[in-house]
Amino acid sequence: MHHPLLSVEDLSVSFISDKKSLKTVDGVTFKVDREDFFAIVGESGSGKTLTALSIMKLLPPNAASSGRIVFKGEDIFKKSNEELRQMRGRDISMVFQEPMTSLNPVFTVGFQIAEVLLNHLDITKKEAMDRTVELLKSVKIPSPELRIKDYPHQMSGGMRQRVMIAMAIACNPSLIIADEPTTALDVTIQAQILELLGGLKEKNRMSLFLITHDLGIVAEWARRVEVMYAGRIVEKASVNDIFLNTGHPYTRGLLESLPKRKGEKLIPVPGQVPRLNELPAGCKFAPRCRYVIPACWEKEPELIPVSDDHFSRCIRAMEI
Amino acid sequence: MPELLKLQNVKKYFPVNGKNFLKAVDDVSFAVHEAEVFGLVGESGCGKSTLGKLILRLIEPSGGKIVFDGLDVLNARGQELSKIRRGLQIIFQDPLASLNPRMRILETIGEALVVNNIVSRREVKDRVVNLLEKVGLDTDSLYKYSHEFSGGQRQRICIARALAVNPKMIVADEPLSALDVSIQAQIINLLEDLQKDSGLAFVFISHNLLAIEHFSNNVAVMYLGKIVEMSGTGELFKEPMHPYTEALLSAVPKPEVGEKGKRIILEGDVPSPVHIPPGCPFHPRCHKRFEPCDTIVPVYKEAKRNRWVSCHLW
Repeated sequence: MHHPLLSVEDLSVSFISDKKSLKTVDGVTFKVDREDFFAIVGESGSGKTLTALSIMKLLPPNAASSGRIVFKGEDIFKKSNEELRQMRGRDISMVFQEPMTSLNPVFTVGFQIAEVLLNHLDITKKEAMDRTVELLKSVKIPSPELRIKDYPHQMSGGMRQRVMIAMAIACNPSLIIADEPTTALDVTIQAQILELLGGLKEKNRMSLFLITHDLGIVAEWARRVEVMYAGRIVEKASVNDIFLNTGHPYTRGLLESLPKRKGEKLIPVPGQVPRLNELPAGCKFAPRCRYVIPACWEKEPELIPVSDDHFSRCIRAMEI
Repeated sequence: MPELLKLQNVKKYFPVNGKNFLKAVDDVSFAVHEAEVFGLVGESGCGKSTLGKLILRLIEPSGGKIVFDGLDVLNARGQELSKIRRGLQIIFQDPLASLNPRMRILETIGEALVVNNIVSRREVKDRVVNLLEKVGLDTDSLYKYSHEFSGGQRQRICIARALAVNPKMIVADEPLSALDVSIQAQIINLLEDLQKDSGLAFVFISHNLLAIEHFSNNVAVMYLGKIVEMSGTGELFKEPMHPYTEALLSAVPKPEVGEKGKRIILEGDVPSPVHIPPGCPFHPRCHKRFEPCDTIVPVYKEAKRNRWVSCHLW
């Protein structure tokens, strides 16, 4: 039987504060295949980053998670700390939004990349340094033998993100989770970084799990997409279906709020993203939805199939 | 429409290490007419925000001339300067940082009315309510503090405060960047309504090319402190003349599936504005550079009717 590389089943994450529990991720299910390009789209607070951190088991201590995450046939929640440490950086690695806060300011970038290699592979320091130079070359940093001696502050934002990517691919992982990897960068640098990640994904035959709020990036790069709202997956489909046969009012709202050519009025999603402790009983999007009917307020809809491999959490998915 | 704002050879040089200068804004000239939206686009560090602050004289320029509504901004003092600032307001990227956390919304917006003697103290509340309505906020916002609002609502408060003095123009410095996509559209629509209904002019500073294309009438592209291309928005987006503009436009991921346009990937990073490359400042990254580019600085000229560009190709 065909096993996906990663499968996340019914993942929920709650935070406990003042004896109250707040569910920030609720029943998220998805899978990532080998050599897949999978994306989760959502706005701030939708729970997309917490979903990613759950996979690495890097949630903050006051967060409680439930569900099942299976990577290469093994349940991540059942792994010991030592097993997790082995897995992180070797089998799955992560690239974050802000490279400056992800790099240690008091060590050279060369040292920080070599550290990953020395931790996971049985090689000498000399070999690790040589390999580091190779890695910097593969992320297209000019004169890598000199740049390994740089500290993070001596590099530009784009360069630092390249260093992060070099670290992420150091041990040839089968999955890279990239959480808003280009949000802090300018568009011309963003184009460089995405081109680089896409190329490395093909070359090293990795899977990429991209988290973003930018529908443009999704349209150009991803194969399959899930849209998150208030901790839930509201729509899942191939990238073509998301854009051409949109099946959820929120996804439609996101697409329609993007600036169009001059003269075309934008159709914003009204209201605000709700606070997690003030979510309505039925459909969580109902208060902002243009297609709302009384039934929406009664019961939270399930993910229903719209077509093959296309699901939407909307009782009117077929009509919109 | 008559001219409202005119910049002539405006410069801002910051001294670095005593002998070098960081040329944040270098020889920038443009004009904005009444009820026009002038877009200013460029990547971080290109000088667009510095230019925004110079227009209001929140920082002093190193040279050049700025005329707003017939008044000389750079030599204005006292009464005259406050008259200029009543006509010319600014909103910033981070609305939370622009609002005093210890003031209620009534005081925040009311202060602008009182300081400028717009209405008598008794009428302040009615006028604030009026302004809140204009930007789409409820009257129960009056006695709340800024932390009680969401990002989009805070930006509306900043817009209401700017509108309090009945300005003719607002400099909007990245007003969307801190907001989520679904909220950005609300703010763009609000700015657009203000422009259409009240004839407000805007200098709209943004790195978001989609928003610039949607909202601006004219647009200037900045690179390393200089305008490299300026024209009507339609022409610029349809047929960019400067290779930098071309690369910038092609770099934006388009939110549509199907046919992909050709992408120009620029080499390297933006050089430091302290060590600007000789010749054309863009030549080290340019995909169309040829012989004169690394030695001769291109002249900024009107290459076609109403299309200004500084590039040896034109």
